[in-house]
Amino acid sequence: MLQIKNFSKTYKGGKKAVNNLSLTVEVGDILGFIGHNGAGKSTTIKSVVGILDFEEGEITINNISIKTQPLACKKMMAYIPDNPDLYEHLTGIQYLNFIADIFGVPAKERIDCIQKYGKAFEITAALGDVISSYSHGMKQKVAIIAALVHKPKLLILDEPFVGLDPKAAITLKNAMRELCAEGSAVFFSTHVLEVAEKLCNKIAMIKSGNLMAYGDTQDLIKDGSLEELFMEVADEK
Amino acid sequence: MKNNTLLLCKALLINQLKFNALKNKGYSRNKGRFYLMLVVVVILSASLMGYAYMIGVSFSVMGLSEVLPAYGLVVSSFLLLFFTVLKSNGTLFALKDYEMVMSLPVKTSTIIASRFLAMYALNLCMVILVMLPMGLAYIQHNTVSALFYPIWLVGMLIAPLFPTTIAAIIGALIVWVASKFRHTNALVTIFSLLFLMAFLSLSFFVGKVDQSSFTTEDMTNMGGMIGDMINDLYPLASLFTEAVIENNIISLGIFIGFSMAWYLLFLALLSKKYKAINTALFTHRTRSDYQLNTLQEGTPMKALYKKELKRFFSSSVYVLNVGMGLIMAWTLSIAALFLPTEMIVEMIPMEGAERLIESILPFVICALLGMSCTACVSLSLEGKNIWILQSLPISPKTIFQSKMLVNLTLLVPTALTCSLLLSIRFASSFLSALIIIGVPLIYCLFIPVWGMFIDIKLGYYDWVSETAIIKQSANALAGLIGSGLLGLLPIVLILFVDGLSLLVIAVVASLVILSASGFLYKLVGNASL
Repeated sequence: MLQIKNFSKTYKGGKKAVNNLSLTVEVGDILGFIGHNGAGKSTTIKSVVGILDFEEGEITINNISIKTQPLACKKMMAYIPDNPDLYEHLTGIQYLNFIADIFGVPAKERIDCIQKYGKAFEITAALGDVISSYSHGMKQKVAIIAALVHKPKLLILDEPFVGLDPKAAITLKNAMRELCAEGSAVFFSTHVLEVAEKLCNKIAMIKSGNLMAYGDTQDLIKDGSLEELFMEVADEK
Repeated sequence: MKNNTLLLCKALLINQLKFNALKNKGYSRNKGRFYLMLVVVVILSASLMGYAYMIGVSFSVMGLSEVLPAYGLVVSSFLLLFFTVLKSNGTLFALKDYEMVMSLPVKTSTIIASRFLAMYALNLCMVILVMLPMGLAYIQHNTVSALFYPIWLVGMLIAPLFPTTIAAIIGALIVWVASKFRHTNALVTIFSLLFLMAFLSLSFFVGKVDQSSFTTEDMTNMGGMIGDMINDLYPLASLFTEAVIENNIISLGIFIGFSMAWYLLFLALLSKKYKAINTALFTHRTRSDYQLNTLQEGTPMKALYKKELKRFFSSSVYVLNVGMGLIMAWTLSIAALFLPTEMIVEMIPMEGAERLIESILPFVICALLGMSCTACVSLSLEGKNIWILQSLPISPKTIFQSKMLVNLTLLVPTALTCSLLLSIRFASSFLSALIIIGVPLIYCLFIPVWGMFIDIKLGYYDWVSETAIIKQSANALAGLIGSGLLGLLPIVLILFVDGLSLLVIAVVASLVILSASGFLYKLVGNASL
C-alpha cells in the first residue's frame, strides 16, 4: 500500500531531517513509527501525505507516486496531524460535510459514517456547534471522523492519541483495526510505546533521521518489550 | 528587573513586524517579504509626508500659519482614530497569545499597557509623518523661538495618546456590547460599520465647512474662523496652539497632563473589565443538541467556495477592512445619484470638471473596488489550517479559483449596481453608459487574479493575529496598491493630458487590464500551494 524507498529530506541550511529511509506498509498492516522528538517522524509523514516536497527517494501509494500524481494518491489517503487545527468558523458537521464533498462521498454513506463514529466518539450532539468552541480532544475526534468519512485505503496519523480521553483512544484503536480488516492500512507515529506494542503488527524506529529498527513487532521485541528496544536504540551511538 | 510592559511590548512588536526575518543568514523568503514591506511603507510614508508638507506650505502662504499646529494635531488624531478602532479587536483584545500572556506573573494593567504601547508606537509614526513636515513648513515661513522645537516635539509624542485611547475605548465598547450576544462577531462587524459610517459622515461634514471657509473672500478673518472651528471640535488643539504660538508652557503642561491622566484613567477602567471582555470573546455559546438528519452533497468547488465565504463573513476585521472599498463605492454612487452636479464639480479642482466627471467616475469606482481585494490575503488567512488544503485531493488551481470566485462574488454585484447608478446619472450616450458599466466589470476580473498572484508570492501562514495579515502584511499592501493604481492611472491621464477621449482611455485600459488578468491567471494556474 505504502512504499518509501531511499527517502531523504534536507531542509534549507543543510540540516538532514531524514536520511535514506525505506519501509513498506502492506494492506492490513498497522505500522507504528517511533522516535524521539525531532527524529524525523513528522517530516516523513508530511512528505508521505504530500504536504512537504522532497528531492531524494520515492514514495508511492498503491504504486502511484506522490511526487508525480499527488491528487490520485491523496484520494486514497487520510491524514490527521499532531495538532488538529480545523476551520474554527465552521461547525463540526459543516467541516465533516466539507471533507465529504471534497472526496465525493455519497450523502447516505457520509450520514452513516458520521452517525456511527459520532456515536462511538460521543460527539454527535456537539456537531452543530462551531469548532472554535471545541476542546482539543473534541477537535481531534472531529478530525478522526473526517479522516474516516471517505474510508481511506491508507490512514496516516501523527500522534493521534494526544488529547484523547481513554474511551476515545480505545474507539480509535478499534477503528484502526476495523479499517485494516476491511483492506486498508494504517501508518502512525506515537510516543506511547505500550499502545504501539499492543496495536501494531509492524514497528519502525527512527533516530536522527536514520531508520534504526524496522520489522514485525514480535520479531523486534522478542522476549523483551518495546520500551527496552527503544532505550537500546536511544543509547546506540 | 526589566520593565514588564516594555518586555511584553517588545515581544509583541517583534512578532507582529517580523523583525526576526532579518536574522536569517543569506536571502530568505521572509527577508524578501520584509524588505518589500519596507519599500511599500517608505513609499506610502514619503507620499503622506509630501502631502502634509504641501498643506503646511499652502497654509503658510495663505497667512494661516497660526492654524497649522491645531490643524496638524486634528488631522493626525482623526487618522489615528479611524485606523485604530478597527485594530483594537485583534491588538488589544482576542489575541491568539492571550492565554499565554495572562498566565504570566504580571498585572492585567501591565498587559493592557504593553498592548497599548505597541499601538502607540505605530500611531506615533503616523503622527510624525503628518506633524513633522507641517512643523518644517511652519519653521520655513515663520520666525520661531528656541522653545518651538521642544514644544513641537513633545506635541508629537503626546498627540497619539488621546485619540488612541478614544479609539481603544470605542473598540472595547463595541466588543464588550457585542460579546453579550450570541453572534458576537456579526455584531462587532455591524457596530464597527455604523461607527465608520458616522465617522465618514462627520469627516465629510467637517470637510464641507472647511472648504466653504476657503472660498471666503475675507482672508484676514479666515485663520481665526478655521482656528475657532478646529478648537471647538478638538479642545486639546487650542492648548497645543497656545503652547506653540505663544510659547505658553502652562498650556503645554495642561495638554500633557490631560492626555496622561486620560490614559491612566483608561488603563485603570479597562483593567477591571479586560478579563471579562476577553473571556466573553473566547467563550462560545454552545447548544450541544445536534441531531444528524440530512446532509447535502456538493462539488469540491462548491464546498471550497462556501467555506471561503463563511471565512470572510466570520471575521469583523476581514469584513470591515477589505470591505471598505465596497462600502465607499456604494456611498459614492448613491451620493452621486442625489447630489447636485455643482457640488460634485466642486470636488474636482480642475477647469471643465463637469465634462470630466463622466470620464473619471468609472475609474474612481475601479480604484475603490481595488481596495476590496480579498484574494491578496485569503491564502495567508488559512494560517495553521493550511495542512487541510495541502493534504486534500484538490489541485492548487481549484483552491485558488474558489478564493478568486469569492472575491468576484463581492466585487461584481457592487461594480454592476454602482456603475448602473452612475450611468443613469451621468451617461451622455449609450456608448458612454456602456463604458461606465463595462470598465468596472472588466476591472473586477483583474483584482482577484492580481490578489491571488500576490498572496501566492508573498503570503505566509505563521501569524498570530489575523489583523497583522489583513492590515499590515506586505501582500495586503501590495494587493491594495497594485489594484488601486490601475484604477488611479487613467484618472491621472484624464486630468492631466488634454484631448484624451473617454473611449480611447476606456478601450486602452480595458485591453491592458484584460491582458494583465489573462497573464496573471495563467501564472496563478501553474502555481503550487
